[in-house]
Amino acid sequence: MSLVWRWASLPALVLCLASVAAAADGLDQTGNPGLKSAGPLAFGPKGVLFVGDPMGAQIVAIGLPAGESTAIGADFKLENLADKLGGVLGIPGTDVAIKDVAVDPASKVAYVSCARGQAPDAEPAIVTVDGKGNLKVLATDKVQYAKVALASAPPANATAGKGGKGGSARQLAITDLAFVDGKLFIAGMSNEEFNSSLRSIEFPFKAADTTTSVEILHTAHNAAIETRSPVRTFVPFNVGGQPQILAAYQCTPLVTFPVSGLKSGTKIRGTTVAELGNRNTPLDMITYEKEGKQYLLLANQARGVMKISTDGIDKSNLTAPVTGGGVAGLKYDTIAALEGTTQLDKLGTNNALVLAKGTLSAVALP
Amino acid sequence: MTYRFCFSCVLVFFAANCLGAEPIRIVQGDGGKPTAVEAVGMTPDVLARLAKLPTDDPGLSHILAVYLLTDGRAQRPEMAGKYEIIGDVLRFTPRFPLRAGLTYRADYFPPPKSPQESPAHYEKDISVSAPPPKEPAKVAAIYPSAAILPENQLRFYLHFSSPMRLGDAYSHIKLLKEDGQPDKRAFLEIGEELWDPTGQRLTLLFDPGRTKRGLKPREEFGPVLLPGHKYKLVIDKDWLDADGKPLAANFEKRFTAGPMVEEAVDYKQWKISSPPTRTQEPLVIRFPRPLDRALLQWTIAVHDSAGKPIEGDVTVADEERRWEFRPDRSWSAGDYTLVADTRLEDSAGNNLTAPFEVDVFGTAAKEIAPEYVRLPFKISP
Repeated sequence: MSLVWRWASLPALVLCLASVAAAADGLDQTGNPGLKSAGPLAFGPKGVLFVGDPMGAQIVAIGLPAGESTAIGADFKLENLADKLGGVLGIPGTDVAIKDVAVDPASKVAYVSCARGQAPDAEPAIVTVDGKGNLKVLATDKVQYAKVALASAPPANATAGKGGKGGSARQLAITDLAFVDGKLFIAGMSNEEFNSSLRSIEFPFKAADTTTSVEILHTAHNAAIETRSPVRTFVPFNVGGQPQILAAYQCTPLVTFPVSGLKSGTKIRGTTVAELGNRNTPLDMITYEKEGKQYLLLANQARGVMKISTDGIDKSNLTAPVTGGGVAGLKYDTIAALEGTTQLDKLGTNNALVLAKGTLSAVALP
Repeated sequence: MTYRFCFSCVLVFFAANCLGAEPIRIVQGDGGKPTAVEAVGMTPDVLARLAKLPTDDPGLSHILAVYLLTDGRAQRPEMAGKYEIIGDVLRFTPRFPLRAGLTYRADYFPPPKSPQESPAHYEKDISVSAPPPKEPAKVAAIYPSAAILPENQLRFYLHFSSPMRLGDAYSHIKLLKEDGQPDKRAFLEIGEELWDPTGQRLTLLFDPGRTKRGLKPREEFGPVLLPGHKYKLVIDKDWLDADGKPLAANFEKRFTAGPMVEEAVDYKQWKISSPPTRTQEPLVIRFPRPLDRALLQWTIAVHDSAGKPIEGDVTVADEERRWEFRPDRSWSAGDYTLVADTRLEDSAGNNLTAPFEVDVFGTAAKEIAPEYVRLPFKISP
């Protein structure tokens, strides 16, 4: 911008005080929620953003500021996202660790959670990206918020060793969050015991101990074997009119289980509905409807983005071994145009926002 | 940390009515650390107008902004931060601190005092010197420490002497087979990586898909470990620590695969040795097979006869087959209970209530197993 034009535009710097949204229900505190890290994001009731904070062993619900913003449109494209984040964070783009990208369904503005560097104590940041490609750091020093601790540290009253004296090394890597019917579901993976817990917490949060851990078992394609395995990513989904969680496991297939079965102190067995082949490390998943049919879009670390038909999901139940690295259950196509996708979220009914090869862009749902 | 930084102020265009004072000032905090920049020389009218804007109004960055310099060029967009009018200056405080070892540029475009005045532009570079280098990190230990590991070994713990850089772990870890060839699919690679909160311990899981029976990865590639075969877990020194320095040295752990361990941990086989009363001698438990070192740190508690946990220190020894508890205060004679969290696992992921894989399809327990098991012991007078 030329210097003359710079000052010609100065009168346009009008007073526009940012207003803060009226406190959403459940945000009972004001101030700095004390995020130690910013991991997976999920949107809750209007104006509430849930932030998974694995380093702080907590989930924080933050009231988002109200205000005008430009929605991300179908032709949105922002190249070199990491470099641009590096600009606002004051570090080289190669040092920015992007953790999650989520689209606010109300404003259609993207929220990017990241860390200011790769060190374990790197400052967290949540940066919004609007439809004009403007980046803005979400101020978290004075917000309305609520938070709930995740029971990742060893229970204090049952420990005799280092853990009981505050030196715990135990941590939950939070891999996904979703808000469904008043409850926040949390998938994670312990860095110690190997389990298959899926936590759910009611929102507004009550006491920390309202977190429930539910064991989920799934078949291992050999009719006589059940094992534990952490859920990696999941979406709420309706199967035959019944609310379900459709979960992708770290090492194995797609599994559904009913939301109604997720009760504290019980163990439920999921139904395996698809086996997607070897080297399947799921990253992110969305559901959408096209031409009257429902589909899943699953981003996968090693195998690109898969479009999965849900036809017959209510009848699919794989219990026999699937051999030879093949595919069974629900059918899928690999979407070549989305190769390299590392982040994926829904953008309205017809589009997705994807981060692939460093570029954040809107794409039409396939 | 002492911050030494150099400023270079460059007048890009110097207007006829030049400013008397230095147009850009650096505000320094503790130890001389640069914390903010100030723009000097604006008229009271302009300052009053700017004072009415929100502290993060993007228009203010048209007047004063700070950029990271990358290869001598300003990295756009500008750093996020807060603007304030303090006295007769516009101050910008970056949202995040300027980082040691990097150079930043403050850009200042003073609003012209009249329509006739030519616009001016000032810039000042801020180089924050890097702190003195620390000792590079090294691999301090790898667990399990045994030289023979079961074929269905589930995980390793890699301990480092200082915090590591996160996000690049798997490219620096190799499992070499007996013929020296790497097994490229040996470990589960997850983007989050499984670190402890300090970044000094990484949990490395063997690919469970190749460990569990009946899964496709195992059918296609076979199990990672074959009984009787020798392996090397190799950590390459190019792995960077949190300060960006490579490890002091490569590291390798040699081991041989042994038979599968497929049963739940039988706590009834544990040998408990009670310490003498009025001493702080350790209570010792010996396990028939190695258990998970990290879980042993917190899953076993000692309760007194009133059910109150006793404070003390845990030591794990003898290739994770021995657990010692040294109390903070001397033992008294009486009844005690060991309270073991049933999440305690052996090195193959079998825990106190179930094996890693349960061969009981259709009859698996519908309720979660008990959280704790209790083992009484006595300290004699």
